[in-house]
Amino acid sequence: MMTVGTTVEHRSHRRQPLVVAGLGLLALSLALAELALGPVKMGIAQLWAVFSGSGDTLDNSIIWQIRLPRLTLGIAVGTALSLAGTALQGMLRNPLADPGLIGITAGASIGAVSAIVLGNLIAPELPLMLQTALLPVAAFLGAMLVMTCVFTLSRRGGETSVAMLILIGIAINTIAGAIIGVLVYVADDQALRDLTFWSMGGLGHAGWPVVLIALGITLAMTPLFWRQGRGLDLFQLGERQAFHAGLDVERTKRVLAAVAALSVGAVTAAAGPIGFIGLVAPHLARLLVGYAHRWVLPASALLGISLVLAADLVVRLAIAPQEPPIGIATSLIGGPFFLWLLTRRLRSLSHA
Amino acid sequence: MLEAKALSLTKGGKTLLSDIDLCLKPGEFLAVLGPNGAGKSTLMHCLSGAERRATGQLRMDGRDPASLDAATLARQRAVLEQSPRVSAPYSVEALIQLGTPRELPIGEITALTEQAIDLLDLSALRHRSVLQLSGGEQHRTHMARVMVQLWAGQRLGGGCYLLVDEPTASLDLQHQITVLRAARQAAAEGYGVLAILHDLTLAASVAHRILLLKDGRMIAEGQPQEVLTRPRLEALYGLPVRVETGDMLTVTPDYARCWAAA
Repeated sequence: MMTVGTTVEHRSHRRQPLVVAGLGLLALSLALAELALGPVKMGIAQLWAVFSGSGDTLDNSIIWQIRLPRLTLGIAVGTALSLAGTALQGMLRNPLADPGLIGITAGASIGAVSAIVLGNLIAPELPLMLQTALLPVAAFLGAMLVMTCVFTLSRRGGETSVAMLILIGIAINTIAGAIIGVLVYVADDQALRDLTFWSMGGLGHAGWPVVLIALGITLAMTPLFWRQGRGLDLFQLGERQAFHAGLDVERTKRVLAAVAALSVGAVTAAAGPIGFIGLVAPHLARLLVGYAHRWVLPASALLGISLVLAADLVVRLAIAPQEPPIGIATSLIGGPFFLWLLTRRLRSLSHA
Repeated sequence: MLEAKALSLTKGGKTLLSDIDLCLKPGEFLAVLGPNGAGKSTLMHCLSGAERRATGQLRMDGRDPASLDAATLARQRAVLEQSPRVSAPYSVEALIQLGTPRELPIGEITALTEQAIDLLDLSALRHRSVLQLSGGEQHRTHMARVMVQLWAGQRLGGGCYLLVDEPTASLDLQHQITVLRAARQAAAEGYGVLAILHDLTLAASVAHRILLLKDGRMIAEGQPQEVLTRPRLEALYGLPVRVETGDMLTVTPDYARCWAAA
């Protein structure tokens, strides 16, 4: 069950393009703030100088080495997590389906941590390019593996059971915690350092190659999410009626699961586990633009980007130059939100 | 023509359908009747192409529905499941358009939507959220959605069959008639209509032919007055019934004898 809202779609019909445009502006201004703000503040003129090639050396290196990769990764993370969340929630008709809650992020984490620890153990001489590709690939495989497990185990009588999904998510998160614990135990000092930074989650630890891989995969996946808008609408009828109405249900589910695992894997590899964006962004999007997925998907992506950038600005600026992990900020917003959802949905969950 | 020959289905060692022969011609209204668990819905799933493990021969205008992809099937036939649900608060209007193939121009979709809203008496509800409606109102909304899909399929060169599973369940008398009038009108316009019903009198009044099922087997098939006879129905449902033939065929349980036996 989706949220029992009082959305009356005809009223918001003309409003939707405006809302999406407004969210675009919001994301854009946060992106500018991400470039301009920090220990060294920069004005529009300075930013312009840097991008037109006439900036001074310090400004240049701050933007190109620190803030631009950060911003780029933030855009990739926000887009990937929110679109994956929207797709999962739509496909499962379940507002609690978040890549983190049902264990996809944990799967990606197992993959990434294995790559960090075992990659360093097995092949410390590996060329840099291979090492950078190893992390996303391992994270994707982990995410895909968990996704397949979760979906197979939670099927009851031809439909995916919501309650089972959440419980399996809890179990998988626990198992993943144990596996990561073992890997941490066997890790050497260098791996331990990388791992600690990575597992706190953050936009600032990844270099350009990893950032570009994350952005590239996210950009490649975005149109694939887009094309399933009608499919996600039809899923709201239940899988059988969606089939009757012309949707290849099994294929759509496979495509969406793979696309979600790939994008969540890519950004988790680069930024570490960042929770709750995939839960919160689609909800806010539906509150603003209603339930037609051709509007929910873009609104959700822009909200995801805005949330990630806002959280990053908060952790960077709150006690600068200290930088607490971004995961703390997203969990501080997302945790209470999830509790609120749970209490609201308690009754329908007990029927699920 | 929608045709099944020696259609059988066994799942998990249990025979759900065995040796069903049926034929649904364009313009014909066929009612499928039988006790709970007789295999009526299973039969409909086979005919609609959703259940693909049946053996025997199945042809929808010359092609096996089990071999067609979902999008092709959606243009060939429209299906209303038993107690359909929706989990997002779409407006009635938006829900009705949800099943329309995208190939159809938006103007035509709007026109068909208006037609369905009129046909199913939904104009007062059109902007309401579906989740705020009563069960019966939701049911009518889904019927309207299915009608739009049927008409749209025909405009796109397919669209001949309407399959509905208990379309009158949870509806008041007036709206039972509204929904079945829509189905009858579809038959009059040349669509083949198959409806699973429980009310025998209602079925006798609306259907051209009736198919009786029990335990996955065909008990009888033919015109209502041939099929709905007292001995057959008493054996089928296991209770005394009264069949009155006059200007209207009426079937009711023989309540006096039912209560006396209890």
